[in-house]
Amino acid sequence: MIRVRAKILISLFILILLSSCGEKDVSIKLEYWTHEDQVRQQLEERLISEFEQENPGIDVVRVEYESSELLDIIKNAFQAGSGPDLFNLPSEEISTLLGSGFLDEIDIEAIGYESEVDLFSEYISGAFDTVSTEEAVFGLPLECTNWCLYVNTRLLDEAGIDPYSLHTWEDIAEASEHLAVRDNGILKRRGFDFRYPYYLSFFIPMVRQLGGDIISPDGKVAVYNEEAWENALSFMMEWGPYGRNLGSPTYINARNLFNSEEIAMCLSGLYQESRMATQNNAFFTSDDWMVLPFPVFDEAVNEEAAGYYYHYFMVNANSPDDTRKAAWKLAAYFSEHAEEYLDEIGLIMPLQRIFESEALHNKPFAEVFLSDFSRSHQIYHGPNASELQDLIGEAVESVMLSSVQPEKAVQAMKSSIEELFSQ
Amino acid sequence: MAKKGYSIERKQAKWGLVFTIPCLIFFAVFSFYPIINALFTSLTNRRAISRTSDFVGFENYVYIFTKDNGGFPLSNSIRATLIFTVGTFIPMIIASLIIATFLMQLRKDKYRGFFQLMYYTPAVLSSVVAASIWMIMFDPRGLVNQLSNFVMRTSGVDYNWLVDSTMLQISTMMIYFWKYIGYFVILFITGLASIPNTIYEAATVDGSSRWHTFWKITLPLLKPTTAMVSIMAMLQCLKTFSTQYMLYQGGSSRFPIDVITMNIYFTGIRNGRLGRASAMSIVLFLIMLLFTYIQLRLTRSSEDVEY
Repeated sequence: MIRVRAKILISLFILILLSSCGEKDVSIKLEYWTHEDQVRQQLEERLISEFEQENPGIDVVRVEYESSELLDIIKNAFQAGSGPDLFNLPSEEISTLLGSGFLDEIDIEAIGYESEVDLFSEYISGAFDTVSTEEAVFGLPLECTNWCLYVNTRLLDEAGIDPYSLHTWEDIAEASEHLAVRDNGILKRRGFDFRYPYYLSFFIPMVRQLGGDIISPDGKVAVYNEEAWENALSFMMEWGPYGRNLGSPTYINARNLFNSEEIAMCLSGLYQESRMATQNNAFFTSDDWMVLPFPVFDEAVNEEAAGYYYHYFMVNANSPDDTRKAAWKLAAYFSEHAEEYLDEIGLIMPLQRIFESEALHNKPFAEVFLSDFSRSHQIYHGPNASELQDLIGEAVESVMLSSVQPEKAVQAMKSSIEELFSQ
Repeated sequence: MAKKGYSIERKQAKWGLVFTIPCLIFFAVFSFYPIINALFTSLTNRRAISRTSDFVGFENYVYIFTKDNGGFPLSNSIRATLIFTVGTFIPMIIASLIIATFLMQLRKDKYRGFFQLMYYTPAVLSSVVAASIWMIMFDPRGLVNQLSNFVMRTSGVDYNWLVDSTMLQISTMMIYFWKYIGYFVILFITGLASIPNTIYEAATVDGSSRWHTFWKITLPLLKPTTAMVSIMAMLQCLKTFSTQYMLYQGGSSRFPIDVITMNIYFTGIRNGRLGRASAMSIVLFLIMLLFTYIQLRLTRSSEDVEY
């Protein structure tokens, strides 16, 4: 019996020895959570391996989640006392975490700057607004993105439509009617469709074009200028399955279909070009596509373009000191390679040097994005931004999918938003 | 002798207890504790991403029954859950009983095994995969819409399976029905197999027809299985979540299919109002308790069955 036990103990000892032989000499294990993006994944995995070589004591684990679920997963992980060390989130999802105590204050020294002023001077104006409180700054910008109208000129040519005649939403609806391929009532191919459910990015600018806004200029009224909201919702109602049946949130998202030439137009950022090059290089290198400014309504009172948004790298305040330092160091390492982000995946880091670079201006149709950028606002990123987007989405989807009258949808949304703000 | 028997019984009971303890611990940790925790949380204003919370009494309960919870009131969720449950579990019980009875009629075991496997396969799939497959089928250009056109003798009509409020609710029922029917078929087959053959032989000798045998022998003797299956199916339907969530993620409207579990998820996880979400989960727990009690009362005589 003793001999058997001795054998078991020796075997276990050897097993432990063998299993520890393969391990690297790692003192910091850094977990980085981010949203799914196949093209960015390739670049970041390369950068991470270079970073690990330069910093032998740091081992980085990169984990991807679906973008629509990343915030929920992070929140729950934090609540449970775990979570990533480094992560990124978009503008509208940050207010939930700001002031919660879970975000680490930016480590100026770890990211290689002498002061906050020094850091801010490298970035475009307002780049840190979303992640700043009166006391501190909590994030480092990963990207700044606005959307324009991608157009498949071959499909438009076939339908006899001049792409340069497309300026207004009414033009887009008319063109979509001609471009749509139908089998009686079944829509087989769309001409254009919106980017559901990112209503803060495209629908709020449409409301603003008509003179409305989420909050009135004096900050006292929610759902400002109800008539503008009703008109924008009426347009969406007409767009939907019970109107002219030109598109719906239930269909496959337009920007994915654009690359395979299964839709004529879509809204997307500059990064779409890299995705086109990866997924359909023949189309990307052809002359069959172009980018046009974000359309406006015929009766627009503001020439508002699509809202731009940021993504920020942030660090878990509950991670150990050396891990937090390493996390900021990695975020800064990514930022040092801003040119590669632009070149390989079309992501614009809001650094002055990137905005002034030839590399950006030489990107196909970059001027359209930059021109639209000058007539757009950052998407709403104040308190409850994420919930607000859901409520706006419910209003849009209720008129499109359930034939709720726009007036009724606006009233329901207004009361929900007022309740949300009152809490 | 009596003393020895008593001792064996005690010994068996002791071992029985030993084997039951892990299960009891498991239930205590993963079922009883969360229920008590949810009850306690429902009396606080606890928010996700917040380290403190205050006791607010029944404020959350008053809120969920009187306010519209950001456009998604609990009353709508109760409606959506009850419609889904009634629309799914009753057809599922009837269909699974019929299929199980037919499968038991198959003479060769290998055919029975094959069909059992076929019916059970969807239950193995994750709900996410199942919903994704069905979303493709419910697309206006998909199989279900084509079949609808064929059955209704129409051409090119979009039946709006994922858009129209009523059709959307039917879609969720169809997905769930397809996914879980195999599971209940297997349970019914187990119940049918436990009915002794001698009873059927005696009925055949007495000249009973198959139809008569089914109604007078099979169905009454299957009562305990039917009771168990119906309670399980009903509870499972009341807890439905992933099917509705996946369709919502696919762009469908939330309101018609906003079942209680989905409202709990959005209120607690998405919007971070854990106190309010806990109150909803306690309401769901009470609904499930009530329905189970009613069903047990209705099928109480089923325990009298003896072969």
